[in-house]
Amino acid sequence: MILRRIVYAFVLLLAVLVMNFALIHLAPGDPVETLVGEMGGATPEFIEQMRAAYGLDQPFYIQLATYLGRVAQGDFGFSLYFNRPVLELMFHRIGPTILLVVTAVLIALTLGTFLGVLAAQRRNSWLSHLVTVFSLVGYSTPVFWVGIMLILVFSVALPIFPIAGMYQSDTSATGLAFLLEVLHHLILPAMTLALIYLAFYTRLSRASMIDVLDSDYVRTARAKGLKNYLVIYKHALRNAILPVVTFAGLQFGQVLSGAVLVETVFGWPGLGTLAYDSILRRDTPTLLAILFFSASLVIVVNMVTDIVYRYIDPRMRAEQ
Amino acid sequence: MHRMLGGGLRRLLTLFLILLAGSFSMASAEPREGGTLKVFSSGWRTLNPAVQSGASAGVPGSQIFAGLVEVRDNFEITPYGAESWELSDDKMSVTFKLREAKFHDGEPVTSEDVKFSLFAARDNHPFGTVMFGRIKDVETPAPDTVVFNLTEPTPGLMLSLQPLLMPILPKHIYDDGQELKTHLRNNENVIGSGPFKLVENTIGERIVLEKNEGFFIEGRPYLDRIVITAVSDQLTRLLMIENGELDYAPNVGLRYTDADRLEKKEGLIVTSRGFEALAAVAYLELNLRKEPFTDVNVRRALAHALDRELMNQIVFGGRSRVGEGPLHSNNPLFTPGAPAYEFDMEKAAAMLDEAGLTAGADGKRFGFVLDIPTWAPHMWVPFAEYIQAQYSKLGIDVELRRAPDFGTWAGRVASWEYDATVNGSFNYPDPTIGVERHLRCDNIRNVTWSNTQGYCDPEMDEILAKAAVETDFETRRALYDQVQRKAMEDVALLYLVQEYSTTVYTTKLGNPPLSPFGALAPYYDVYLED
Amino acid sequence: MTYISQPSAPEVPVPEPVSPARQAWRMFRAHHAAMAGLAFLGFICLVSIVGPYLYTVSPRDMVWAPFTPPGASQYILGTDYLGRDLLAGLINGGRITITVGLTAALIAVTIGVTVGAFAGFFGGQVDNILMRITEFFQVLPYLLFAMVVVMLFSPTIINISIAIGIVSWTDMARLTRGEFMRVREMDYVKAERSIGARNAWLIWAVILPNAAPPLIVVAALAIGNAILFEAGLSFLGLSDPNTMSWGRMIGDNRPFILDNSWGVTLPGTIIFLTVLAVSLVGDGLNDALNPKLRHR
Repeated sequence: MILRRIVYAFVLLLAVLVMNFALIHLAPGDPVETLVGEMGGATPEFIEQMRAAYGLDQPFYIQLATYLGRVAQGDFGFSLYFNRPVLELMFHRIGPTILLVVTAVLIALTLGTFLGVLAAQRRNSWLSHLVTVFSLVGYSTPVFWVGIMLILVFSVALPIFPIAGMYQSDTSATGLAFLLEVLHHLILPAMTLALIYLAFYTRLSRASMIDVLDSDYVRTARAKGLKNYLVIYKHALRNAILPVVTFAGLQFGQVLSGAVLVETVFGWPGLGTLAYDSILRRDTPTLLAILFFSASLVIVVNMVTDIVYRYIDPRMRAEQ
Repeated sequence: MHRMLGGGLRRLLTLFLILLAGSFSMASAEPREGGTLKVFSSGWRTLNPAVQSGASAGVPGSQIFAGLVEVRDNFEITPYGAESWELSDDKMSVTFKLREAKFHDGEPVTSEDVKFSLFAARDNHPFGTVMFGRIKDVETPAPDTVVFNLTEPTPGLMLSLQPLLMPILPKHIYDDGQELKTHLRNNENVIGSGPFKLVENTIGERIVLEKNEGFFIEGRPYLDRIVITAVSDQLTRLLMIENGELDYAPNVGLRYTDADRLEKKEGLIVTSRGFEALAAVAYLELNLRKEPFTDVNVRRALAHALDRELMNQIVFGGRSRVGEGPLHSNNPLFTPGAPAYEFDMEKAAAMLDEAGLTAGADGKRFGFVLDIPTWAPHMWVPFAEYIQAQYSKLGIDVELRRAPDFGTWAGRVASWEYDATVNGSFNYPDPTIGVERHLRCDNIRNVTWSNTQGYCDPEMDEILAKAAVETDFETRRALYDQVQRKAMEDVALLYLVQEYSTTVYTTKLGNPPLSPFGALAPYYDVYLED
Repeated sequence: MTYISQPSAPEVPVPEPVSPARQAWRMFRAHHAAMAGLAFLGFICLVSIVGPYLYTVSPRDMVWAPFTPPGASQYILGTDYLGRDLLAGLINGGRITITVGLTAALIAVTIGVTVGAFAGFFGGQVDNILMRITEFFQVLPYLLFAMVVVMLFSPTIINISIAIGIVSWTDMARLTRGEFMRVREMDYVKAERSIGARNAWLIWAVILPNAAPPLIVVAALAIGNAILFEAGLSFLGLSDPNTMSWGRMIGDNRPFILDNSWGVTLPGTIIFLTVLAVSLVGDGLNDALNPKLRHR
């Protein structure tokens, strides 16, 4: 079962590679033209030489085969624009993005579930309505807008947090001090990204909690005289959190998308800003690698979600 | 007695005050050593200025590499890597005596390195041939002596020998058969003989430079470190300057509203100095191969339809001035007063009618695609939008086109496959580098910022050729005035407004780099007060 | 971006004498917030359609001094950095934004429903393959992928709509598939099948109408999503330079936000309100069409 999933994941990734490769090559324009333009022009011979160096003079299927062959060996090629190995460029950027995204999702998940459960317990209370309003507002506000507003309030008007970056540009901090510095820089972007999903998760967990609380076995548990918080946190929560976890997994691709915007607003040195730069420079190898890695990330997260799901869901556990 | 005492006291007090003031001014006159200078960049792809023009490579490149000379205020040329030089009487050769210097890896700098670097810049720099095409050969009679032999007198040559345009590259590293444009050592472990050594280059994030203890100028540089952070977003950049997270922000592409804002802020200095050599006149480039731009009267009509004073107001808050031809008013060879096209929509319409471009039944005369460059959007986008709005009043349909990346835009212009673009290019200190390239018949090439519009006039060629080799300053200036007037008359390019650039820095910055090349010059004299 | 919970099979409602549509409308009307949302959307659409004819100031022309604040001139919402009328921008931009929203949602719904319907109806290998394709689009980071498409194929309104459409149909497909699988097993479908109804008839005329209620809700929300998506792309500078849109107004005016916040606040608020209205309508539709889920 697990093996099949892994094989399948590979097929999916292969499809991602082929499709993106084809798309980028289908688009009008040519990375060497871009590069030569950037250099301020060059002789036709040099252009041809560059094309040959990057294999761009070959027919499409050969280019594709060569590319796939290299990727199979873990070689994502050379960034045309930056003249560095793509993996080296990515290497610096994956960490920050994962840090940002995971922090945001964790904030959103824990806080969201907590608020949702609270609201579900007191249906039709002001808290419940507040949660509804909050989730609607969260859903309707553009992410980048929230980011700009947070900067204006918490970095400009009240200078509590830094405006941009992941650490002070001239930092000399190491160890714990550096960690704290990164944390200080992380708070605003992570909150921005979390806010949107917080709204989602709150609403979702509220809804599923209401379902669970209405279900027979919770009623039975209550009838048996179990304490309320035990019913909620031991039995009901476990069931109510299921759809939230599934959803969080499924939505991971969107969280990454949100991260692109948040990274841009906060100058966070992650994959999003690198992707943006690569698009602006038509840096095909880098772009392909970023799309590939973010797709892999989504696949891995989906798999982890599955496993967590199995762990939480008592029915699934019983089956195993 | 009493008075004397009073006078004595007063005198004593005065003396004390003088001493106090003296000690203060002493303190600021004595530059402090140490400290980290925080600069920003909008991103870089290489650190080698020999293969890439512009600020992205120039800011770090001029710190890592040294050049033969430096360009100081008022375009004064001072010794740098070369201790002295001598021009032969026929002005056909220059002999340089090199200063004793070492590359960051300990290898000595020799005349062979200089020779290698000169040809490297000639062959790889986007306008290498314009700058160094008149050099016939280079002799290296001794390790500390190098001779450039010229094909004709080249008054602009010395200005090109600074680190920005001809960095002294270590031959033992770059002469290994690799293509220089894509050489790996343009990015990693980059070694020069300049005041700062590269210690970190994380692309898209930051460059860290450290003091070169063995720099050939005694007691310099003052700074311990320079950190160049990549900040691509303009608003973020502005906020960082405001918050003091940057010490020095050159060529920030500040909008005038931001300049107004920052000027009011204590502890910051906003100046437009430091761009004299990089000054540019923004222009509308019409592809002269395309109808109806082939007709000079159509081009003149289009010039009449733009209110350039208003463009200056909108984009630069009136801080700049209207373009009077290819030369920027900061250029020492500039003469004001070339005839301009006054803003007159009716005249423009009448001229178009006369040229046979009457409005059709739908009120349209003709249409064209206007390309928008990808850099400096704060300037190009409003310019393009204004042009679109103005011309639509005349029944000319302008379709704006944005390129996905710089290279695509550059590629369109360089391959002559465009109708029109808004554009601008650095004047550089000498018109032979910055101006001539747009106007000479033999420079109609498939290279960005050459004569891509396809302007060719034998009379213009003649004036330019004379001006290039004229060694008397006033005569030369008069010749460039003719160039200026002729370019306006022919609408070789439709000159709009002079670009306005700003540098912002903290008051703690001593000796800020405000020479004509500003941020692209070496920073060894720069220091930070406590 | 659905935030509707799983399509856990609602029970077939007890038949009532009133027609289902009227019943639904009655439920919807009782939802005050949804009615407010609908009214606001109606207003926005009306302004977008007739506004440019009534308010004839061109959004392109410079009409007044740049950065005129709202209320300081005859142009009541003030002007932007070029001195263009912001009200004219909002009216004309609304047209484009709503069009992009509708077109992109239409593309997403068409692809999503078709894929989901086929997968749910035929099951087996067809389902398998179609769901693999869906999954493929689900693992691509939506915004990144759309950015690549828009950048490489130039930012025109059509390309932007297509790019948004092709990255946002997957939720729709999954939901449709679920509904089809459920309805497929209903007695009346089996009955139709037994009298030899053709597949096409079964899919479009029998099952789809019965599977529609939850789909309509998601389709409505897809419009809101597309509007947000367009704003995000414009924020990154990926907007059509020849047409005004709300997203582009934010992107263009953002650099001036410190001194002239209204240039960003106005279109930002309009986007927020419009998307909020769409979600409220979606909420109301949810209540009206899926009565069992009402207490959510």
